[in-house]
Amino acid sequence: MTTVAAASSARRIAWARRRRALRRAVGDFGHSRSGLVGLAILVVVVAFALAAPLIANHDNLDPSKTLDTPLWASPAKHGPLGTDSEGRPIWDQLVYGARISLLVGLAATVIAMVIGSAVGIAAGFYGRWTGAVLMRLTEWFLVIPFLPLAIVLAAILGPNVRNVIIVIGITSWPGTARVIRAQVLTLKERLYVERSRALGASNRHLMLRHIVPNVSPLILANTTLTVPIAILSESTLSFLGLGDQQKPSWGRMLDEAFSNGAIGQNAWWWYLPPGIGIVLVVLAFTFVGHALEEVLDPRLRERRS
Amino acid sequence: MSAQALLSVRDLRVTYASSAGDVPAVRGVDFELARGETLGLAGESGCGKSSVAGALLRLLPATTKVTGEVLLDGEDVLALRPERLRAVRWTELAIIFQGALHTLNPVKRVGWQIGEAISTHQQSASARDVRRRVGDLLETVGIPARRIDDYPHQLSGGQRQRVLIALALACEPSLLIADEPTTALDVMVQAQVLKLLQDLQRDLGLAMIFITHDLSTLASVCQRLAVMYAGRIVEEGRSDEVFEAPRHPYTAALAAAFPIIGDERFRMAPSGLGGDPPDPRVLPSGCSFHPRCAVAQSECPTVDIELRTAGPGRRAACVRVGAAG
Amino acid sequence: MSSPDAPLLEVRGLHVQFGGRHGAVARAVDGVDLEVREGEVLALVGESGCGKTTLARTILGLERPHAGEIRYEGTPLDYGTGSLRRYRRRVQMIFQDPTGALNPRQTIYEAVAEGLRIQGSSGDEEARVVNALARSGLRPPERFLQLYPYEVSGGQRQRIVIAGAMVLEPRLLVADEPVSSLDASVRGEILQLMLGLVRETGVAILVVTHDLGLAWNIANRVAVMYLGRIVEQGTTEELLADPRHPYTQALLSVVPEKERLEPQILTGEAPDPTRIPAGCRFHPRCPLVQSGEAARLGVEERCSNEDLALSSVRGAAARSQHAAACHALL
Repeated sequence: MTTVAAASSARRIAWARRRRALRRAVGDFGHSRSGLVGLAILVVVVAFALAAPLIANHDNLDPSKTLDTPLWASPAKHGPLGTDSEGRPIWDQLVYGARISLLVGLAATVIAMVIGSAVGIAAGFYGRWTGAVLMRLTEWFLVIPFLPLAIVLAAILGPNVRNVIIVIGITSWPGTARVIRAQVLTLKERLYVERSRALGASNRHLMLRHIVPNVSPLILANTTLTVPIAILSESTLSFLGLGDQQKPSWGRMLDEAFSNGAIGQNAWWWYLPPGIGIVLVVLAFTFVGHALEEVLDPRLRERRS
Repeated sequence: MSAQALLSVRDLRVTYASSAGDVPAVRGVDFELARGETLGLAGESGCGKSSVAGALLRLLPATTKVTGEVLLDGEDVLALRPERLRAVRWTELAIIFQGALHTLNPVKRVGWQIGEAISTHQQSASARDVRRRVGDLLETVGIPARRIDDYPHQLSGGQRQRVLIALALACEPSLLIADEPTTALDVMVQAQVLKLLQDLQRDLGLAMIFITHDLSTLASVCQRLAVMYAGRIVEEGRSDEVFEAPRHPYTAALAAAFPIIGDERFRMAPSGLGGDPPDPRVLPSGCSFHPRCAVAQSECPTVDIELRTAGPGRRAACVRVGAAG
Repeated sequence: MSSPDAPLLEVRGLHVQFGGRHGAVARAVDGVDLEVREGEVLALVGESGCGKTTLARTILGLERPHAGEIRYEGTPLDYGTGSLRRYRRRVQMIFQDPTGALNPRQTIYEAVAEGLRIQGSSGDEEARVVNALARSGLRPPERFLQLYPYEVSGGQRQRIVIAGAMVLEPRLLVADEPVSSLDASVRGEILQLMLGLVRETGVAILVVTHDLGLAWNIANRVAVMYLGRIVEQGTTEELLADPRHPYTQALLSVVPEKERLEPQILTGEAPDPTRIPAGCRFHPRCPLVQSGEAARLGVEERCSNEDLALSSVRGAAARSQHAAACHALL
């Protein structure tokens, strides 16, 4: 066997093993009922959001347009979900609102995870000064109360989708960093890391070959559990009027429903759909996240043999 | 069953339930133990020796199938009702587990832990009596009584093992099971603990079952020796005889694994056994030792072999030994 | 190269400490001189806390000494990144826990190849991995390449760790309790493997162990450590047949396999390295002191007050290296 062929066959074998491991992980995930339920809900909601142009009418949301729809109409009178105090159909708001909620949730989570993982890994791996400085920075951000900071930033930067994403991202990363750092501290002490050092490994090799692959499952599970927090944060901000006033979002729908007295008018079709939507999505991500944690826990995997 | 036997075990079988099917950890073990006698149970990982210990005290998980007969002073432990079992545990039959650090509760003082055992079985005892008895127990095992209020982490490995021994003796049992009591300890501390166990056995007339993988330790501490492999006893007899002239090839290999210092035969010649101890889930056919046996005969892969008489008070499960007896 | 009599590895006056600042200072290695020659097996024997593992790790460059030096082939150890990596091609380690020493997410192939990849070796990687696995007794080696560590037994995992070390073709192997966590019947095979490697490749082995029987099985020379110092050393025959230091004698007497000596069970346990006794560090537990023998010999004063180094024992053969650190022997 030539060198190249030999090396590539070893690599092909390695990839075959990884695919088999993935299939087994997927199989294990299938054993978790709550995980499957959560996944199903997410699939539906994401499909919902992606299909927005097909199933809903964006024009109805334009505040400058006047519509000839009835005001405060219940779903019986104007389907499928009735209208609000200005006659705008709830259905269109709900569908397009899903997009914003999911977009902000995911984008903010990505920011939080990228910063949090980088800081967590660095703080855990490089002890002493680097670690201490990074941890103080993390703690500084951690103790900042979310809402006052959000209000201040919204006031300074202006309330739009981009800024909401930034605000949530900045306030969410410290939690991730602490969790990741704790895991990296444990991993650093593992005997196989010492063996790698004894073989002559540089810090870069240790990080890339041993620390990151072993901390990735935690990052993945943590990401899945951060998304619902981000979505809730977005809903909160929009509810308080700090979100983007031009774009619909479930939080904003709740805000408008309450400020226009939907409760008194018994216009349940206005505030229930977005409320239930938020709860469903948050629950779904949480279920999936917990199922992922169980599946990806390497200790469980080893014991299974 | 002889009249004087304190413990009589007949056809003990332990099968664990797992998601991948049943795991037969113990496949038919018989032995007897007289009062004040020490029996050594030797074997490696997966041979079932710890399962035997767990079965005797009925400490195995609820899903485990345990069959056979375990007669302790005439009473079948396996058939006891829960209240009687609780009464018997610790007062007649006590166990010292391996891994002392993890067996003691790290957030409770050692005196409290030993006292708990006493007060569980003697509700009438006053707190002062219990404390005094705990102090006495600690002194018996060689720990100064003033350490009664220490936490486990404040004690050394050897001291923790002694605490476990004191804990086992708290209710004056007649039978003590020691499961790998010296495995994680240094050789000098091991010697101290072994000496302690021997002294206690002599002074208190304790019967002991000593479980370990170190055959040479057993030979010096126990009167009789039983070697386990793949869930069965493969050799049994007086410990000096078994150690010096093993009849089963596995016993011979196990004995040779720990060389006699000064003996030229072992100099620069480590003696090992090929292969690995068998996985109870996938046992070899016929005699379970045959894949690793240097003197396997033609019938060994197909014929499962029972214990046979190999001399007075000696049994070995090998086709090369005598005739079936 | 170096002259044939020069040792492969030389350790002089090594001191390694831990702690300080908040807690007490633990003098784990407190002045050690040691030599390992080409192709020899040296057993470093002692109980837990004596500093043998710290010494092993320091020799590998995983710890930095506070004082003293380590010389490989005459050249002092340079802790610069490049030279340390080059050093590690020559000196490799076997670990006590083979399960922990292998990354559970790496295949066996990757575990063995890791050293080659780190060192940037050219040449056929797969052939060298296969060769190393075969030499470690894992046959056929191809069967093991794509397996994960949890799919093989404990003994096989240790063979994989050995293969991973030998693939770099080192001149010295430091083995930290290589068989203590393995089953008894598997022990002999791993020791046979190690002896085989010495015979085939000429590699030297420094075995750190608490097991004197292991030293008898495979070691040419033995050094006994107590609380950070070597208290006796010599060839295996000299030391185990004629131990001179009271600690060695006590250790030997309690080994169940050796029944000639009357068991001298020492009282208490070795004090921790933060509280090393004054004078001879063994004197609080020394049977000679406790039995009054030291007083009779007139050395008790010195035992309690004077620290001492190794010196050749009397009555040893002319070129013997048998040395012990005991006032009663002087």
